Amino acid sequence: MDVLRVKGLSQSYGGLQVLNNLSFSLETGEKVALIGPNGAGKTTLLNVLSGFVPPLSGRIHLLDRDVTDMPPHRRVSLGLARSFQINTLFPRLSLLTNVLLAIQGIQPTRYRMIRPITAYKDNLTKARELLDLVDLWGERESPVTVLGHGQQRQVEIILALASKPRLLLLDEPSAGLTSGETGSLIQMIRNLMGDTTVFFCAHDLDLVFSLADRVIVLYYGQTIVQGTPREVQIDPRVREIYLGIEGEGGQMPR
Amino acid sequence: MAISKVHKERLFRLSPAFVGTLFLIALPIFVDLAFISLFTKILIFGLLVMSLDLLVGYTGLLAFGHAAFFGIAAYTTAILTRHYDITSFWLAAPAGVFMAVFAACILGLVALRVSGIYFLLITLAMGQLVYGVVHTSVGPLGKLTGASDGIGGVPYPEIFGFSFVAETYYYFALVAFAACSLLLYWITKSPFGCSLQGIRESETRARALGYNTWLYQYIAFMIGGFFAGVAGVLYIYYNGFISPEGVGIGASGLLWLMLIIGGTGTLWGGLIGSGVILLLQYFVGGFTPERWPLILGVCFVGVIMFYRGGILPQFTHLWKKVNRYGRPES
Repeated sequence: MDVLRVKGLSQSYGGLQVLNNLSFSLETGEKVALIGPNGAGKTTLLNVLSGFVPPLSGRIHLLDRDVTDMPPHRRVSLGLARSFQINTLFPRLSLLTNVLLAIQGIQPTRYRMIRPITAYKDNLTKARELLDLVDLWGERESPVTVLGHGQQRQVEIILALASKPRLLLLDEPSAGLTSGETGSLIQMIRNLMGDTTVFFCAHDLDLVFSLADRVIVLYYGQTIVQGTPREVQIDPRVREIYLGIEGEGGQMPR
Repeated sequence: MAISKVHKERLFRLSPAFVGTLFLIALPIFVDLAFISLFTKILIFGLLVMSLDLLVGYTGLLAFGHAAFFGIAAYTTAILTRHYDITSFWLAAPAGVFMAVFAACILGLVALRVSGIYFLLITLAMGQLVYGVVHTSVGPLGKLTGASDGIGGVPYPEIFGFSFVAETYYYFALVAFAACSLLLYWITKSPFGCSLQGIRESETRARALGYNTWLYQYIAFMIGGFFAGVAGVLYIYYNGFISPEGVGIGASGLLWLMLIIGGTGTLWGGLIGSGVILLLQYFVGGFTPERWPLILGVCFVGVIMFYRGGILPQFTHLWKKVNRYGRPES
């Protein structure tokens, strides 16, 4: 079954066509990378898919339901989650509160006005499991801003995972990380994702080639190439986009 | 020796809340009627500022017309008591609170269509709208509200055959304040309250996690209206009189001053701010009434320059220092 089906999606900012009649689908459990040069429309596509930006035209089907006109929070309750390219956490709240808020996001508990948030033991256990994954349980009382950038990137992903999504959108998960940190991030994503469908965009080709089953190349709002990482790597059009006209030097990084 | 050390330790560990409660309960034993009356007012405004803090400090909604809900409740109770002979506390008081919540329901729908500075401006305009309504002297409305003269002559309430006077009404206000402030405190610690703080910190992330942020802000706005309404009813029975000045932009601005001086996002800072401003007004303002706004301005600038977070965070810091003093090294 397709987790996500996108048909004829278009979006433009003023006269700039950012997404141009885009169609693709994601199968259950697939890990798909979205690559393309700056300004190709990657973040816009994720914003449209998660409901933050309405598309000008086209339909989005999530788990066989038309979600095109649905606000972000309802898409989350259907099983979609996302992370952000720039850390978007709750800066002045403690790490534990950040994670608890992420866990209760799709529970009816979130409207309860009695008992402290930390008194809901089930959620506390889940929070501990999530924080143990990144070895940050010991830091639970600190505000997230005291964590290093690499740890905040990990928290960014933990928050998205807390609702146990069917489809996870990751926007540049390795943005601003050193190559060592990226390595452990790849390890972490590999361990955690299981059969979650993951759609992520990235500039870091290490991340793309070690995680993706399939790669979609976006260029001026259109998919120009789709295929396995190997196929994409040797495709002449991709080389042209990334490296200029073929034969003028340089090689596609492996 | 060992016992005295333990004793000393425990003494220093008294929480500020406990000391504050004891102080408020014992207060009428030591002071005269004028002071009891002043502290009743401090409690009422404390509750009002705390309800504003739920919106400003916890939800991040810059509500600038908060006195309107206070005024709507006070006017409703006053009009029912004076013009419709509904002297029963159990009818007039809930009616006041109900009207405040009802107004928050309606005005919230309009105001929450925008956010940030626009929300501030639209709530300011709504406050002035309510001011305009109670200030108007034409038509039947003018007769009900007393226009610019206001409406007065509301006596202390009678509950279960017990008629309150100034001293006993202090305790009534204290109990009401305690109940409401504890409710507010629990709300801020609850899943709902933490969600509000999450929305304040990052609305984008909250939406991405499944929160209907609009609904949260709307509910918070109504809760704010509810507690402002309770404060309004407490005030009209305390003061016996309300005029348009208690409703408009000046009153809302004073609430913001109290909130900022006490400390936003601290909840109890609302009571501290109310206490500091009203005590200053009593002592200094009574000494030179014409200079009072000047002194108020200097205090405000002072707090902004030296205690950016407000007085309460500074106080808690100091308390912890005292607490550490004389404690065995561990």
